[in-house]
Amino acid sequence: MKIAVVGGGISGLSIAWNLAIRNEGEIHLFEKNWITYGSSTRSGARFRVHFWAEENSRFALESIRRLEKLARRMDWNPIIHRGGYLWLLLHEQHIDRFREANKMWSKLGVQGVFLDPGMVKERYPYINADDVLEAFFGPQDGSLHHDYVCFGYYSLAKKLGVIFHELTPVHNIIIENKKVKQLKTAKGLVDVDVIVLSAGAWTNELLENIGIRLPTEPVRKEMCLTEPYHYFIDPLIIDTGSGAFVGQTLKGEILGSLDYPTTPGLIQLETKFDFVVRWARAITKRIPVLKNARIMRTWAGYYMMSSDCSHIMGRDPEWPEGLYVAYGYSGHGFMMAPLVGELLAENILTGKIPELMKPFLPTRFKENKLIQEKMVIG
Amino acid sequence: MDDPSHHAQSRKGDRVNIFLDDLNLEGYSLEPVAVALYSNGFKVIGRSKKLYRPRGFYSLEPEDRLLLTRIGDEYLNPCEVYCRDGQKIELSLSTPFLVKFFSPFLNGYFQHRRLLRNRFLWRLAVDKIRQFANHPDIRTVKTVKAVKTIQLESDVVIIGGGLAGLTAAYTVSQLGLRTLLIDKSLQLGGRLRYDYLDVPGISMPREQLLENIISRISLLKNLSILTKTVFAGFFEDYPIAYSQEERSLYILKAKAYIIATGQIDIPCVFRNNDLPGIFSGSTVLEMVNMYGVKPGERGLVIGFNQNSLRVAEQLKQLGINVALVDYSEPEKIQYSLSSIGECFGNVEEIEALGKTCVKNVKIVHDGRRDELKADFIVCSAFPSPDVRILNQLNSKMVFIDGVGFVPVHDEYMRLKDNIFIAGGASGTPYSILHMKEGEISALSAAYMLGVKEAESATDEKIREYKEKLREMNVGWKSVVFEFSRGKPIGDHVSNRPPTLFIEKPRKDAFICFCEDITAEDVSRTVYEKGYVLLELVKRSLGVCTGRCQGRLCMVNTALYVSYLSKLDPNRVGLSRARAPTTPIPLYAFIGGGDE
Repeated sequence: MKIAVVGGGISGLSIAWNLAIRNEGEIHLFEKNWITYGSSTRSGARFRVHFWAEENSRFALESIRRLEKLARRMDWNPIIHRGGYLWLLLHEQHIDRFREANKMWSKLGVQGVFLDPGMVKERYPYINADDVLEAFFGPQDGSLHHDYVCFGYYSLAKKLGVIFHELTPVHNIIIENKKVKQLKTAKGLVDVDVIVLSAGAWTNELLENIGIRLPTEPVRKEMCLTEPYHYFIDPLIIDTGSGAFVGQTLKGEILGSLDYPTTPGLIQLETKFDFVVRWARAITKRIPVLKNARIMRTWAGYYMMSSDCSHIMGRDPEWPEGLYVAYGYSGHGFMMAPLVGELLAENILTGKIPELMKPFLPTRFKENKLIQEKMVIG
Repeated sequence: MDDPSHHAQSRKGDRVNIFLDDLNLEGYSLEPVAVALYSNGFKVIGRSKKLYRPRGFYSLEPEDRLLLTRIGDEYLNPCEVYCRDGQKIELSLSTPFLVKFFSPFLNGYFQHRRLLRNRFLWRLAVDKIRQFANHPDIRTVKTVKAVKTIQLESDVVIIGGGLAGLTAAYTVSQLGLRTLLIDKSLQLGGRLRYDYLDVPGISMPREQLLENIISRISLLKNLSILTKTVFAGFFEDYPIAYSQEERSLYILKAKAYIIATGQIDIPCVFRNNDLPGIFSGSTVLEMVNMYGVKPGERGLVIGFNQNSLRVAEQLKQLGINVALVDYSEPEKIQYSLSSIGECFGNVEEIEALGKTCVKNVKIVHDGRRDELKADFIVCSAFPSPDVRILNQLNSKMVFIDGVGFVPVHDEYMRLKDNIFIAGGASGTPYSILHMKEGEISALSAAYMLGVKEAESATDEKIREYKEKLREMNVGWKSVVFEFSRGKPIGDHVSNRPPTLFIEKPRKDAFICFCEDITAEDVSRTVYEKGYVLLELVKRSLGVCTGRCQGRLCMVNTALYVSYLSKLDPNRVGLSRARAPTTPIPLYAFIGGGDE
């Protein structure tokens, strides 16, 4: 069996490696640029297990466990650190919502802690908590190094014989007798039995070519990074009032972004001065000492948003045989991809649909079984 | 030729007292703090991030930002801040014991060691990395002065006030367009300010040339000038510029931009090339000619080329002994080298010796080893455009043999859309050509903005320019013009980079100074990990991700990777730079919001 994975980001890499360890058939990975290009390398490099929807929380929890285990086998250190997420809650309804969700999280074993403003000031003296009613701290959440995770998968997959075609864009999928037959790539036609589309923001173009539409669209997100400073911000701090978040990397840089409206679509990956101004205002109000931090770099990447803000994996039985997708992560790629790879590989090779995967099938949109997830950060 | 000796030792500005910890030191109001400290014998003014290596300044350009010093209440770049009376400076120069102990193990890959990735050791390591990475603690900075946000509208913005930028500014303003000229230094003139030798190909003496052009532009009513202001890059909505001295953030709104940011001397890669006392060619000239501060008594100048010879010549005139080295044969250049000083060709390896600053230099040449006395080293082997502003714009860059990475533009000096380029920023050598390019870029911009008379003048100037290119043997420019029209460029072999002076990947030869990344780290990435695209090398090692964002390391890394992997430098490529091209404090952006 010849399997082609399209997309060399975290999702494609995880799928390719998971297919390879099952040792069936020949696995090819096509990447239009270089490994990690696209949204993986532009990631904010954080992970969390706290989602509104139980399906997502459960999935992320299992997924991060997989990654932690795998980290020991990688030749790159994924720099996983559970520094926690701190949500600053300014409205009663947010607090109610978190209390409600915390019951579900407790059931999963990842309950968080509620902090009153006094405790916030005590634990994080640099935060201006004057208008904060309460805060929610999720200690199970944390950070990783996005490039190193990808490189780790890449080396593992390469060792197992996955054939990488870098700098090779895929233009089209050729279908014959309701079955995938070939991939049309920049280096010519390639015969395939199975195609996994995992090209993030660029997946829709390929799907639309063969008449498949899923409710997803890329949304540009911008980020700011400051010069490195002595470490002092441990958790990722989310200001639910302004929608801004901020964290510090192991290198000492302070990184953050905020909910900034843009036109959906594959717009240029540039950053706006106006965006930086808004982030700077929001974040210096929350953490006044950051006034003195200097912005060193800004960049942009896409969140591939699905209509229910959750990833899409697997296939619709009505699609041509051999076609699978794994995309629409809605900004949660690094937290979900390790498990997506494992479950999808099992699904492709055995035909069985694992229990954890069921809610995320592409058929959920037409069956109207949407996942109730609206918590997207950034 | 004008005699520079009478300029020597005259310090600029008023004499002021600056305080280093409790020491009262002499400084001058028109010289940067870093220079004042150097003249008082304080060569070590910081420590590097990971290895705590002693660091001085390599260049005085604000964007290089290799170290931050506590000046007054803030952490600032001592090369960007000028001396003020009563200014307090604090240096923290001690190395923690733990870092001393572990420093032999701290390389670009230390965090990937399996032993360290044991669950408990890794937790400990994270704590220690956080504790000991040598970064300023911004929590200790209490107050900041406000920054004004100023919107500036004009027809044309010219970035860089060297010969090309000044010529462009003059030409554009003459055509009646509203023009804004931005320069990061205190005074206009670029290299002409401190390179006291006459300009080849121009009959007028240097001083007169500079005076002429400055007096000519000062008469123009529709030209505004901003000095001490760094152009900080093109955001999607607006380009911006920032002045630390003036505490102003400028939002630029213009119909056309001309980039005339000149060239930088790329640091040479040799053993201990990060020691204090190692400078770029232009920095040494700035120190001696503008600030009257001698870099040392005896120096080593790396490079056999026009620029390095000019540096050596001027140092010699000031009574500073120099030795010239390069890996090419000394006979290959026209100048008579021996009149300047000792000269060593075929130099394979250079090693700077000294614990906290350069004391001696060891060179390996023609199979011999020699130790020379030198208390400073000048890197002048390879001038290159600052590639970041250009590739931040996503404009195409191409590698040309013997020249380096240069931006792709046509003979109208257009980079893309409404952005033009002129002078050293386009890789062009020779001042006379810089002037021509300044004129052409200005005329093209004016024509684009609807100034009819610019059209015929442009063609005439381009004809002259091409003639000059032929005359001066700059054939590669036409390759760039052809390339901009889609004619493919041939394959390049991967030659030895002009900045490379190590025989094998050394642990003490630094490629990236911000992140302490060495030639050995780069070679491991290429040989062990197999990453050869600069974008991937950057991500695996962290080159181009420090404070200078690749200004000093990007070209060196690309050429070194190409050399190690035997790949065409055009396939290794450069990595994308992003706005801002110089770090800007958040308080400046907040001010920006109130306008």
